[in-house]
Amino acid sequence: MLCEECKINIATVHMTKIINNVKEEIHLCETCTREKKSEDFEVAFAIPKLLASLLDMNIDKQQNSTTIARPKCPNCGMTYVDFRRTGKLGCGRCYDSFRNNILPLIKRIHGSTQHVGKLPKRSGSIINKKRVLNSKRILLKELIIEEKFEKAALLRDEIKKIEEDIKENGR
Amino acid sequence: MSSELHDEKKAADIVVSSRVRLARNFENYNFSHVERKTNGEEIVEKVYLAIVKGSREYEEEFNLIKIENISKIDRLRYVEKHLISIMLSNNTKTGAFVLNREETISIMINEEDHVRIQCIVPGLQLDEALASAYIIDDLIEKDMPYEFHEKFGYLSSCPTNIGTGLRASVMLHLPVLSNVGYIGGIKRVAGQIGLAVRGIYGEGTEAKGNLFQISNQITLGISEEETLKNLKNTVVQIIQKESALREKLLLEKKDEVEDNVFRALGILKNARIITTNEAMKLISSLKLGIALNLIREISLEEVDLLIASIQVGYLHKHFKENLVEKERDIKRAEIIREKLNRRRK
Repeated sequence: MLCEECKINIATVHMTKIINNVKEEIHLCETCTREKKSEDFEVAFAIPKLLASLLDMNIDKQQNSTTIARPKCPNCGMTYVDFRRTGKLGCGRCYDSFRNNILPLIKRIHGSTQHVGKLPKRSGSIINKKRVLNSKRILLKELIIEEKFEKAALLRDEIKKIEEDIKENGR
Repeated sequence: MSSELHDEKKAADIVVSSRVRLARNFENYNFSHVERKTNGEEIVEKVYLAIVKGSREYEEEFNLIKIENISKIDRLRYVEKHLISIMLSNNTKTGAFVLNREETISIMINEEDHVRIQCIVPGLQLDEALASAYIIDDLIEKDMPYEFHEKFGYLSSCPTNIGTGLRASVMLHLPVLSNVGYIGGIKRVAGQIGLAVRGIYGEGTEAKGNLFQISNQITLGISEEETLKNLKNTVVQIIQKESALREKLLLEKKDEVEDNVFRALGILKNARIITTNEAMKLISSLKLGIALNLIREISLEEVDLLIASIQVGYLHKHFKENLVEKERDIKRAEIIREKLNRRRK
């Protein structure tokens, strides 16, 4: 039997894959098997495990194992140790419960720790206001540096209004 | 032909489809892997209602399909059509999905996230796909508040998905780039700008028939628009590279290309036993031949349909019986012969 991949060499490796109860037979020569193996190897890196190992790297650097507290999420009861094992968090509150532990990991995955983009309509309005507030505060600093005090005073009042609005309607 | 039209034709020859998916989880529920035993059914009902309630049109348009209610063969068929993930198809307790008639929008429920809103469209149409997904996103959110964090955005059990929760991907047919061994290079470069290149069935399978999927990896700190722009720019560059190589190939090795294409056509039209792997490889040559105008009697759309109908799930469904591998290979060859020879009669 010839190798299914290259159709040149004799197939010496015979594999049977069963995925979702579907059986598939693959017949390959040695060279093509080696190529296949390297492909499968990439696949074998399950993401959660990889995450967990990234976390371990963190811990070794920042704390030694005796000082790892065992924080537990008050909402779902998941522990940080569980997360390290599975790479999965239990609920939304976990992100605050383990915030300091997972922040470096998030930074490493995404290169950022601040969401930009779509906001839910419901809680979005308050977050939008906070975003506007931040940009206005930066603008205010610039105006002061440039000694444009009249404009700065107007902007300061605007900022106050938004701050009060957030206080009243905020969470 | 104007240059824009020319570019569009190039893109249509190479891009098979565009897909976006939004990962969302609900407030006041634990994530799916914790929740599965308790509130899964409740989530299924609420999500379906949120989508269809108050709209006759949507009620007719969208169907709720529960994994436990469909056969293994049907599950496999939906996976092959990329409408659901293998993970969802394995959740026979609470897994479900809401599907539109056209089969372009699929809302998976109780997958890794509570909902994954997915939209697949032919060609390079990422913005259109995202717009459709947003409509469903807003509908669901009206009834069921999402778990949202001011700093981390839309939350998910896996920190790799937080932020926008958006995974956008484009499926490309890259026979020449693949043949000259450039895919490894593309993978490396794409990786450096936060994109991943994989085989067609996404995470966990190899590329069949030179079909590759390129998708974003980063979801936090980058907006949806920016994500799509990055992806589009990269895809356009890959398209240009692939089509430049195709033109070069045709110029320098016309005989070899023609030989390869027509041999593929010959085997496909005459084979009596054929495995998926072999068929996908030959179909890849066929697609190239059509794109290069060497074969005019078959269209690319017809070939894409052919790809769908030679997968295992389709064969089982079509012949309404459980086939063993050898029988499948015979039936597959039969279907291909039928579809490719039909037009000559």
